[in-house]
Amino acid sequence: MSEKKKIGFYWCGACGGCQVSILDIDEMILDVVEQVDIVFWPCAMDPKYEDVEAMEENEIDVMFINGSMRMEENIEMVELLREKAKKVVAYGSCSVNGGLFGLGNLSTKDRLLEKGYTTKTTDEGPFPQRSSSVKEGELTLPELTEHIVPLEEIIDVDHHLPGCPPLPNQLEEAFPALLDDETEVGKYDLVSDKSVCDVCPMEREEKKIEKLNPIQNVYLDPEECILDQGVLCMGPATAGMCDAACPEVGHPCVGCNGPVKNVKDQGSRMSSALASVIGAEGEEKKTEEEVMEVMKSIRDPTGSFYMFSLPSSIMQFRRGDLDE
Amino acid sequence: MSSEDFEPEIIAFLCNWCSYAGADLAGVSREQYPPNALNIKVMCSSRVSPEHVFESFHEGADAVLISGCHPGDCHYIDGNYKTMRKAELMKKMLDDFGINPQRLRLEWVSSAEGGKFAKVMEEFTEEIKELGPLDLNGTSLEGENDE
Repeated sequence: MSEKKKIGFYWCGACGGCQVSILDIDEMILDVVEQVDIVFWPCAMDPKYEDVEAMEENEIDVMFINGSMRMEENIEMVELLREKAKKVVAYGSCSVNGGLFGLGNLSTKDRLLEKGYTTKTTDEGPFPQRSSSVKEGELTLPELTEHIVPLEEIIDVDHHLPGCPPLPNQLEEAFPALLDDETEVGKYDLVSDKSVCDVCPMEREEKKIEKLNPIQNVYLDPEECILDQGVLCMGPATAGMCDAACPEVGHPCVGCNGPVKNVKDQGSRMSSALASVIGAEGEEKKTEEEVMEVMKSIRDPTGSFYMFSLPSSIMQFRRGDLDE
Repeated sequence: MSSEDFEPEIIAFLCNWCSYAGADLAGVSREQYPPNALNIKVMCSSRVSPEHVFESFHEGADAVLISGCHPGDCHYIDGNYKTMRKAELMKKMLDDFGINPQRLRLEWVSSAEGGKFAKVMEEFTEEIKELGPLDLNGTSLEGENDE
């Protein structure tokens, strides 16, 4: 038997869901563990920065990195891991597209801290200090980054595996392919080129949507397309690796997989899709104001359309260009 | 750069059936208007996706004009209604991205309105000159229109 592959998992600014999702593959984890040695997994083991530093170059075969680049420490760590790993996989939407935390890019670092620690929106507490003196000496905390960028802006990424978190069916396909040297996997091959709508089983009629409603105001018909029923569903612009898991059980798609393969900007695609399906019948006879009335029912387009992909959008990517 | 020296770069998406013909008419009738716009012909104004607009700003345009047939006159029946709604969404998004939504303008120019085309160009260029160049550098993310 050939030597076992070495893999690692690392989390950056994340909720922890991606770490749990690895265990979601149930018994398959036994097959995986048979094939590999997990050499680095801060969530389950207790490795230190020095242990990684002591590793040889390219010692880890596949390194899965999840979470957003929220702190300087994340950046330092992923740069180090890049040196030690043969393949780096951006695991989960945060590292692929910036994720939910990416919405923080609509504000600035200072404003986020101010809002979080000095206003009544959260419990008032001490404002985080970068360094503090204790009797053992000076302790310092890593700085927040100015804005979140996708992982590929910082290091070379070999594969994208989006999802919030990636689902067992994605992993069942991805793990064997990534661990086998014979199988060629392209950078974006794990992103679906079908949208959630393409794989969604709900009935879609080609009709105009006259108004978008908050989901709590509508009794959803479990058979009919959610967008048709006047509830915002991100299905048209979202990659469908999930087999429409949410719409199938009556919850609108929130767009967690990010854009479809080869699409750059999820929010743009959603705007185009939505602008084509909303509006009343017979609008030729109405005034422009009456036609635009329906737009008022779309709340917070930026926040809803870019919920998981703002840092990888066209207007945000420029930040990376300018920093260099 | 002082506002007098500043020549804005405007990307104008013009629909094949009305606005591009309108721009042609403006030229044929020797209407005078500022040469700041780069005209791009599209089959219908609704062909313009937010991706094109955002990419234009990203590549250095100071403003974007989308022009199509008057409502009800669209060659493809209801393309311009879709454009109308898309433009509204784009304006909201630009505002959130810290870019003044005035930098995106939607106009209806028919193929008989060469004069109107020249007037729109003149007005829009003037307006953008007043706003100044679009500064996408870090600080503008605080919001152009926050002050």
